[in-house]
Amino acid sequence: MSRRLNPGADRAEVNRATLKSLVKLESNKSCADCKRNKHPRWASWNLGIFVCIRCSGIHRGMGTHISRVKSVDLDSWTDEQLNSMLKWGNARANKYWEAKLAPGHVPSEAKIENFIRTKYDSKRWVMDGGIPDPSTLTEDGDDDVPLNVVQEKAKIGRSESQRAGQPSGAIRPPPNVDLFGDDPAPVRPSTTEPSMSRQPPPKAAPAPPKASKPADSLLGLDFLGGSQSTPPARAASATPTSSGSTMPSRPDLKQSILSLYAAAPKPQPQPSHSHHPSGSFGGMQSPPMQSPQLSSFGGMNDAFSGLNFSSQPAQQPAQQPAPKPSPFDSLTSSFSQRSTPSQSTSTSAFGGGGSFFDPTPSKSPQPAPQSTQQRSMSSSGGFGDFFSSTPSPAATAPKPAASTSMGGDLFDFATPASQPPPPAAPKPTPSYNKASAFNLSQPAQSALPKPQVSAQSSSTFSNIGGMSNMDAWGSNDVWASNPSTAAAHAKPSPAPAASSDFGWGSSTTPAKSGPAEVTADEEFGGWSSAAPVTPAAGKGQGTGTGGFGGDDLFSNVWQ
Amino acid sequence: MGAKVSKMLEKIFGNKEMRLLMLGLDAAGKTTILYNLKLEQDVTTIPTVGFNVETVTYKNTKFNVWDVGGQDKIRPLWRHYFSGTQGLVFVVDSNDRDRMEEAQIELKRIIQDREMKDALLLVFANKQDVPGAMRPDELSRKLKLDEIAKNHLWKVEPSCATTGEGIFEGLEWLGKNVKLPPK
Repeated sequence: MSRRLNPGADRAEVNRATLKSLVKLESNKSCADCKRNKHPRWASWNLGIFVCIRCSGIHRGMGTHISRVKSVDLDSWTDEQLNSMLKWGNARANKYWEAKLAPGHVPSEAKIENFIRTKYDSKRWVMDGGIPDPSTLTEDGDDDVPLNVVQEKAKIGRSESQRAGQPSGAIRPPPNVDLFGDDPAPVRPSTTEPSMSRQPPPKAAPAPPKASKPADSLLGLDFLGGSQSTPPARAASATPTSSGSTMPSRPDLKQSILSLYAAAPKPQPQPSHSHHPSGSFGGMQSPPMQSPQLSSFGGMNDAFSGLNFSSQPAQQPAQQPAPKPSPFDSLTSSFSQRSTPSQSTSTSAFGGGGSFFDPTPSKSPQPAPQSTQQRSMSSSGGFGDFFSSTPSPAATAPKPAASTSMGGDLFDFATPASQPPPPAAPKPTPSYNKASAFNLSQPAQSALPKPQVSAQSSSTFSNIGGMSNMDAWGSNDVWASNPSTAAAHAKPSPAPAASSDFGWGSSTTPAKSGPAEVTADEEFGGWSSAAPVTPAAGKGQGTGTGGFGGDDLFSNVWQ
Repeated sequence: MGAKVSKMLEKIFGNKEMRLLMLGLDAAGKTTILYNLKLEQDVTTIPTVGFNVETVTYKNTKFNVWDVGGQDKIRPLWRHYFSGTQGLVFVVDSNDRDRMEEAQIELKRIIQDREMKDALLLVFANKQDVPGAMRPDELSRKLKLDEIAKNHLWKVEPSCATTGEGIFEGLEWLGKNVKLPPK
C-alpha cells in the first residue's frame, strides 16, 4: 500500500528493520505451526505469528478473515501490521491458539494443513475466554521479555524517529563483543548443530556469529553486491538509509533486549527453545548434520527447483508429452527426477517428507494418481517440490546436476550477500549489552573482515543448518533483493549475477544467448529460449517456475 | 514447412494461441487458478516467489499463462512480463475488502501501461465460495473498471479457484475475443 508513497517509504523501512529484529527473537525462529522449519520468513500479521512458506500457503488458503499473510522480505509493512506482530509473536500466539495442546506438540508433517485449519479455523485448542490481551500471556517467558522490550522500544523509537530525525545517534556507539557471544551462538548454530542449540557453549559465541552472518546476508538482500571485495563499503552503502534515519528505533530495541539478556544468564535464551520442539527437531537436524551438503541440497533443490527448470526448458521441446496426459506426465517426470537427484537429501532433511514424496511420482505416471498428486504437491516435504513438480515437466537428467551445482553456487553468491548484514550491525550496536538477541549486532562487532570471510565459509553452514527449507528460501530473500536492490541500484545487475552464479544455464542449457544482458543472459538465454518455445512450439507443457530472474530473462524472451 | 502446416491447420480448425498474463495482489489465488486450469484440481500452493507458467489448451485455443508473484516488493517486476501479452487476467480476492483499493491501483497501473494497450482484461472475482464475497458488479465498481479500462475490452468473471468454478468460462471469453496477432 504504502509502497509507492514516499512518505510511507521511510515508515516501511523502519518497520522492516523492526521486523527483521523481531524475527530474530528466539521464539520466532521456528515456524509457529509446523515447528519444524527454522527461520520463518513469512508471517500472518493479524495472528501475529511467523511461519514458514509452506505453512503460509495454508494460511492463505483459509482466507483473509482468518489469516493475513505477508512476507517478511517481499512485502512492506504498515505500523498496524507490525504492531500486531509486536504484540503477539509465536510464543504468545501459541499460548493462546494451542492452549489445550500438550506443550511441545509437533504436528505431523503429513497433516500439517489439517492441523493449521483446526488450530485457527476450528479453534479447537484455543484458550477459553476469548482472545486475551497478548501481554497477559507472558508470565514465564524468557523470550517474551525481550519481546516486550522490543515492543516498547519500537514504539519509542518510532515516535522518536517520527519527531526527530536521529535522536538515538548517541546510543549507537560500538557494540561490546562479549555480550554478543551469548545470543548468536544459540541462534544460528542451533540450526546447524542440534547439540549447540540446546547447550550452547558460551565461548562458542565468536564462531556462531559468523554463521549467523552469512545467513543474514542471504536474507539481507543484495546478493548482487555479490563481490566479496566490498564488505565494509557495501554494508555502509547498503543500509545507509536505515542506519541514518531509521536507525533510531532500532538501537533502542537492541539495547533493551540486550539489557534483558544481560540480566538473564546466557543459558536463558536457549531454554526458551523449549518452545520449539527440540526433540523433534533434533531428529530433523541430526541428518543434516551428518551430511550437511545433502541437506543443503535438499533445501536448495526445493527452493530452487525453479531454477533447475532452466535446464528443463531447453530440453522441453524434445520431451514434450502429449497435451492431455501431459499434465501428469510432466508432473511425474519432474517428480521422479527431483526425487532421484535430491532424494537422499530430501528424505534426510524432511524425514517423512521425502519418502512421502517419492511414492507420488511413481504413481503419478498413471492417470489415477491425480488425487495423490493434489496433496503431494503441497504437503510433501518441500515446497520446492511443489514448484518443481508442477512447472517443470521437461526436466531430465540435467536437472539433478544443475540443482546440485546450483546449490553450491547459490551459497557462494550468498556469501556476498553477507555484506548487507554488517551494515545493520552498526546501527543496532548500542553501547552496552549488545543485542544478544540480534545476530546482526554481532557481525558489526566482529570486525569487518570477519564477516566477509566467515560469510563465505560459514554461509554454507548456516544455510545447511538452516537447511530447513527456510534457508533455502533465504535464497528467496536473495531474490527478493532483486526487486528491492534492483530498484535501488541497477536492475539488470541482479539477473546477471544470479545467472552466473547459478551456472546452471551453462551446464545444461544450449543457451540461445539473450540479446542485451551480460553473460548471464546467455545462460539465461538458454532458459529464456525455453520459455518462448513453449508458446511458440506450443508443445511445452509448462515451463519452469521461474524463481528468479524472471526479470531480465523474460524481457529477452519476449522481445 | 512445419510452420506452414500448422498455419493451415490453424486456419482450418481455428486453432490459435494466446499469451495470458495473470497478475493480482498476493494471495488472490493466481497460482491456484493456474493449476486448476492445468490440472483441473485443487492444489495447495505456497506463495509464488518468481513466477509459474503453464500451457493450457481449451477449445482450440492454446493459452500460455504466466502467473507472477504478487508480493508487494516484487510487483515492480510485473512490467517485465507485459510485452506480448494478449490478455491480462487480473485476480482479485473478492473478500479482501481492505485491499480493494490497493488492487485498483495496481490494476490501473498495469492496464494503462503502453505495452498493455491491446490486451483484453479479464478480472476474476475470486473466492466466491467465501460467504460475503463481493459480486462482480460491486467489484467492477470498486476497481473503477469503467474508468481505468475504458479503452479495453473487459469482463469480470466470478470464480472459485478451488472448485474451478468460472475459470474456464473466463478463458472461453478470452479465447473468443482475442484478436489474432498480425503475422
